[in-house]
Amino acid sequence: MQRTVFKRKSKRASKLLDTIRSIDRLLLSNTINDKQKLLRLREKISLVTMYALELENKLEIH
Amino acid sequence: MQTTLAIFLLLLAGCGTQLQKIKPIPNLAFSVSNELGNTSISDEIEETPIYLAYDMREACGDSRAVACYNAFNIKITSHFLENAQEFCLTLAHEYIHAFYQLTTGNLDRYHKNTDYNILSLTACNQQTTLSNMVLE
Repeated sequence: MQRTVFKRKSKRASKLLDTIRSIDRLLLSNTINDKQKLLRLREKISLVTMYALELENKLEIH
Repeated sequence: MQTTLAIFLLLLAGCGTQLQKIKPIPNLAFSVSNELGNTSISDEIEETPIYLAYDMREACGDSRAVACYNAFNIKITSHFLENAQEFCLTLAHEYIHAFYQLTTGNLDRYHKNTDYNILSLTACNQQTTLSNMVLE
């Protein structure tokens, strides 16, 4: 049961990484206005995602 | 007249002090105390809705900031976020949502690609409890 829950969460964290990749693709395109705002949000997204992954690794170690 | 002015200035000074206190810091102001089976949301985490509200106001405007504040506050107080990892994942999604909202054409695509429910932000928006002072 614990493992199933962990797998589900792990999948969600991976999805976040996929989302970050698509965000980066979007930022690289020239169709976006006000990139500064978006870049700041991108920083926050990656920071929180890294926290989530770090916690996931800790859970894995345990 | 002078008394009124003095009171007004005192109130203004008071608000300023309080705002100074809750001013967002550059990085997310939370630490996670996480051990398997001993995950908890610390006092610092409880303050996160305020920081989130500041970020959202800058990114998407006041109404989104209030909605985010309320939604996140409800999640924390109702223990919806069962552990620190859940907390981080949810917070990341809030920021992602804001990002896609700013790139309006892509927001629908984001919703189609994720099974994450933004926790009925619209419903939470109805229960606005955030003091205007926090957002001023």
